[in-house]
Order: sequence, then structure tokens, then C-alpha cells
Amino acid sequence: MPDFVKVPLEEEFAWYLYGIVLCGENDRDIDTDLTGISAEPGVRIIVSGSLGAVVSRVPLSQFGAAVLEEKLQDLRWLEEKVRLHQELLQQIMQERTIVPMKFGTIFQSQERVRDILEKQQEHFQALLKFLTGHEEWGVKGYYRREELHEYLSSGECSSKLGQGGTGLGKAYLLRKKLEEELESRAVDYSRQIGEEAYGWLRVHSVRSTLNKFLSRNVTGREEELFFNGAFLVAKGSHGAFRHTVEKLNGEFGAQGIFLEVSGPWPPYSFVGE
Amino acid sequence: MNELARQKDVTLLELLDRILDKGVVLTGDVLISIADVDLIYLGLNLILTSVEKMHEYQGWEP
Repeated sequence: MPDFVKVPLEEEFAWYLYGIVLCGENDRDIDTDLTGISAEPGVRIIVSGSLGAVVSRVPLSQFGAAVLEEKLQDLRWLEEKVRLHQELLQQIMQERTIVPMKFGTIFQSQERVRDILEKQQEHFQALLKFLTGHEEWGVKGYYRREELHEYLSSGECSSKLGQGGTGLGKAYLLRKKLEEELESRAVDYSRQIGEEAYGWLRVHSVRSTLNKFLSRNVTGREEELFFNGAFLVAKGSHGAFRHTVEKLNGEFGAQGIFLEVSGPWPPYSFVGE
Repeated sequence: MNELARQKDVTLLELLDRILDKGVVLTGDVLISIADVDLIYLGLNLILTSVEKMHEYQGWEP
């Protein structure tokens, strides 16, 4: 008799890890009726020590390394999965503080997940204690090109254009040059506003960070993104935080500049190194 | 289902900005992890552009 037997089930499935939560020392693994990334119920919390790992079983036919790489290029598939991932975290968040994993963190077996919990017990416990009672809020700042240009030029360029005078070509070139000049001023000006807004918003947060700028290709929006911040806010300070955003919008709205808030998010931006 | 949990108005951009770009990265015991997110963004960039184009073309249909 061979002393090993291939178990086909183990080869076809893996365990997708969403995040880590605090549990009681004596808790057993919990089977929930929540829906995971496969769009079917079966989310469980694997408990080890004082930590729980929120996981669900996924077929390797969809989440195997090679397949996944290909699937990631399929925006429809990606959107569905990212939404399912987020919706689950959103539900967990209502009852527990969670340390969110990056999308696509997949383990071969539940034992491997347990290993991680054991090895990183202290790290995750400390992180979870720090995060408890806090939420992440995202703030993106945009400007509407034309409105901001108009505000920045406030009349000065229309007279210049008038002098452009004789030829159509000359007027076109002049307009183009003015346009470029204004946009460069708009970039500088909006950066300044971004710094100012960041300063005001930080007051109401315990941690804050600036995230990367995204081009209009990625944002898919008409407006230009000039600010992309994330803030870890105590639940009690949320009102003051929102109030500050509204105040800033009131102040700069007429210039074509506005801030958009999203959240509450699991603390994605505050669990890194 | 809870209202809060179904944030349909959350844009794909906001989701990708966090879920693909942020969060804890575990190495070692992990079978698969998506490490090179910049590559994904690059791919996304192209996809979003082509989706936009597609909508433009569709806009011409009667």
C-alpha cells in the first residue's frame, strides 16, 4: 500500500483570506451564513489564540495563480469579486474591528491560515487593539478645469484674447498658450489647496496618509484629481471630520474645487508596515 | 441585507484604490498573493480606456 493518497478535493480548492479579527481565547471556529467572494454562503472564522481569520473556500479553477492573473485583466470579473470582497468586510466591520488583507490573499489549506495566526499573534493583536474604535475615511479632491481656470484668470485673459487680433491661426495659438498657462497655475493652486485641506482634516484623525494620484484614464472622470488622502478617524470624531469637509467645500466650491468623502472603510491604508 | 453593506454607490475606482492597492500583504505561507499591483493598474488603465471608447461607439448607435 502506498503511504500517501492523493486527495483530489485538496487540489481543487484553496482558502481565501479576507481579514483578521479579535476573538475570545476559548472561541471555536465559527461558521457564518455570510457570503464570500464565490457569491455563496460559507464564510468561516478560523480561531487561534485571540485571533480569528475570516476565510472562505475558493475553487482553484478561478483562483489558481495562472488563472487569476488572466482573470484580473477582465474588468467585469474583477469588479464583481472586488465588490463581494468589500461587501463581506463591510458586514464584518459592523460587529468587529478587522485588519483587511489585500485582494487575492489565498492559502492552500486551513492549517496554513492557522499557522499565520499563531506566528503573528502578537503583531495582529496589537494592531487590532490600536484600530478598535476607529474607521478609515477616504477624501478625494477634484477640480473642474474650466471653472478653476475662470477663477484663476478672473477676466484677465479675455482682454488678451481680444488683442490676438488679425489672423485666426494667431488667435488659436494664443488661446492654446493661455490654456496651458492656466492649467499649470491650476495644478499649483490645487496642490496648495490640497495641502491646506490635508492640514485641516488631519486634526480630526489619529493617522493620515496621502495616496497616489490617479490619471483621468484611471479615475474615468471629467474632473482632475488633485488630492487623494486617507484618514483613520475615531468613531466619535466622525462628525467633526465631516463638518470640516463641508466647510472646505463651502469655501472652495465656487472656484470649481470640491472634496468627496468615501467610507467608512476597513482600515486598508493603516495596516501596512 | 443591510443598507450599509450594499454600498452600490461606491465607485469601482474607490474599491480598487484600496482593495488592490492596500491591505496587509502576507508572504511565506501564502499560496497566491497579488504583489505587483502596478501591473494591474497598468492593465486597468488600458481596460478603462477601451471601455470608455466602447461607450463612445455605442453612443453613435441609433
